[in-house]
Amino acid sequence: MRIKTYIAPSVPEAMNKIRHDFGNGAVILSNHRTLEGVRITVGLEDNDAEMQIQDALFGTPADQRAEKIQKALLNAGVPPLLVERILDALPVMLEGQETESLEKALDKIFQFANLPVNSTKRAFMLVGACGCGKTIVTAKMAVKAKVAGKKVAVITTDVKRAGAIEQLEAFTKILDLNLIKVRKADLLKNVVEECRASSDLILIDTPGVNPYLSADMNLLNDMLKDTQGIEPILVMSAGMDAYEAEEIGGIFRKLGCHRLLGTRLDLSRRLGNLLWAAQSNGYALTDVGASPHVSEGLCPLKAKSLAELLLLESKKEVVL
Amino acid sequence: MNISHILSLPTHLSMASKNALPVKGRNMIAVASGKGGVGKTWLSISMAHALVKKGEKVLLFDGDLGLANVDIQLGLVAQYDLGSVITGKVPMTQAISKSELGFDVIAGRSGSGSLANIPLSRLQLIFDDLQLLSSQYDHVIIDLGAGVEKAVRLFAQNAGTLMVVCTDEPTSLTDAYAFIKIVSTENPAVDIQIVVNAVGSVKEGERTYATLLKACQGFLKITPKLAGVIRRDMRVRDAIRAQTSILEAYPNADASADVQNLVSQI
Repeated sequence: MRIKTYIAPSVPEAMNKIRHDFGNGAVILSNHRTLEGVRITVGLEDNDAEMQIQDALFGTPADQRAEKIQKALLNAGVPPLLVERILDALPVMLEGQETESLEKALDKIFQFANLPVNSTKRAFMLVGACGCGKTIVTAKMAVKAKVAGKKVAVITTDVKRAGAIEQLEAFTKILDLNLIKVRKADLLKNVVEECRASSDLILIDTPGVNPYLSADMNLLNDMLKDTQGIEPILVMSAGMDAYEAEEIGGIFRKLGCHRLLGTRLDLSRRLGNLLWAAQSNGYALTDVGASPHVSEGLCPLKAKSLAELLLLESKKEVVL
Repeated sequence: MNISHILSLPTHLSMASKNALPVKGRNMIAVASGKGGVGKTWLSISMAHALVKKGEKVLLFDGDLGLANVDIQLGLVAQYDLGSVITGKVPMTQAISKSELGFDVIAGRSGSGSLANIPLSRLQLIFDDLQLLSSQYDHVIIDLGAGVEKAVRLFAQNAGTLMVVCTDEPTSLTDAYAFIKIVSTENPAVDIQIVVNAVGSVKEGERTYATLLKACQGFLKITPKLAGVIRRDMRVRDAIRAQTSILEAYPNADASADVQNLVSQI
C-alpha cells in the first residue's frame, strides 16, 4: 500500500490532487478538518504489481506453461531425460507462446535436414525394420519428384517378400515409371550407375529387415558396399518404444544412415521414439510421413511443425 | 498464490490458531510491527510487567532472533539464552531467567547471524517447545523482530494473539499494514490486534487506528481490533535508559496507565 496525505483548503481541491496522483483507485483512509482546511490521507493498493512480483520471483505462470510442455512431451512418449533437456533449452516464455518456445528449444537440440527438392543425381536408399513404411515412402518420394518435373528412377531390392514388387508397381505404373528390380546385392551398384545418366533422382526400396539379425543387416551392407553417392535413410514409424528405437537407430547408424525419416505420424501421437532415436544416435530429422495416401507425399519436418505436433491436443487432427 | 506454499510453513503450525478449541499456545501474544523502532520490545516488557502486577504468571520470549535485546532493556544477565537451547546445551525450560520484575524471560542472543538465519525446521522445534512451555504460564509474550522474515511470520501466525504496534508516522502505518497483509493472507484466522504507540493523545491514536483499519477493511477485508493506545511520554525513554520497566520507574506516567489499560482487556 502507498499512502499519501493531502492538505488543501477544501475537499474538492484535495480530491482533484488525489485524482491527479492516484486516478480513481485510491481509498480515503482518513479525512478531517484542520486549521488550514482539510487533511486527507489516501491509500492505494496495487495488487497487480504484487502479482507480477510474485510471478517474477516464484514464477508460477511461467512454470505452468513449462508444465504444459512437459506434459505434452511426456504424453508423446519422450523419455524423461530428453524432456528435461528440452525444458532446459526453453527460452523465457510469455503467455500463449508455448509453441514458439518449444520450437526454439527443439531447434537447439535437434538437427533438421529435409530431403533436397532440387538437387539432382541423388540416390536415396530407404532402409528400416519390417513394416516401417519404406515402400510407401519410396512411392511418396517418387510422386513428389515426378510432380516437380524430375526424372525419377525407382529401384527395388525387395524381391522376396510376396507382393512387395506388386505393391510398388501399383504406384510406379500410375506414374508411368519402370520399376527396376535388383535381385542380387552386388548388382545394385551397376544399376544405380546406369540410372544416373538418365535420372534426376534415384530411389531404392529395400526389404524390411530384422535389425537384430546380422544376416539381415549384412544384406543391406552388401548392397551399399563400394557404392558412392547412395545415401541410406532410416525409415522408422512413430509409436514404438523409445529405447527400442534408440537401439535400432544405433544399428542403422553403423550402416551409414544419418537422416531419420518418421512415418505414421497421423496414426501415432507417440513421437518420443523418433526424437530419442535421433538425439541418442545423432540423427538429423528429415521429412515425415503423416498420411496413408501416397499422393499426399512427405512433409518436411521443421522445429516449428514438430513443436506443433507435440503440443497438438489429442482430439485434433494432424495437419502438417 | 498463497505465500505459505512457497515457504512451506508446517501445516500443523499454521492450523494451530485456526482451531477453535482452547489448544496449547492460545495464551501466546506475539508483538510485531513490520517497521523497527516503534516500541515492540518496550511494549512487550511493559505488558509482561503489567500482567505480573495483575497477579498473572508471565513468560517473555525474545523472538527477535538476530537483534535480541529484551535482556538489555531489562538489565538482565542471562546464564543461558536461546543460543544455548539451539546448541542443545540446555532444554528450553533451563534457559528461563527470572527478571527482577517478576516475570520469566527467555533471552535471545544479540548479533547472532546464525540465529537470524535459522532454518525453518529448527524454528518449528523452538516454537513447539515454546508452545509446550506456554501451558505453565498464564501468558507468553513473544517480542518479535522488525521485518517480515520467515521466523517473524511463523511466530506471528501461530500465536493466539498478534499485536501489531504502529505509530502515527506514515512509514509505520504502511509497514504495519504490510505486515498485517502478509500474515493475514498466509493465515486468515490469526487474531490481529493493533496497538498505536507514542501518540499525542488517545484521540489521535484512535484516528491512526481508524486510518489503518480503513486500509485493512478496504484492501484486505479484515477488521483488526484496537488493543490500546499508548500516549507519548518522555519517561518511557528514561525508563529504558534505566533498564527497567516504566511501571516500575514511573507507575503514574500516562504510558504506564495506558499499558495497564491495554492489559486489562487481555
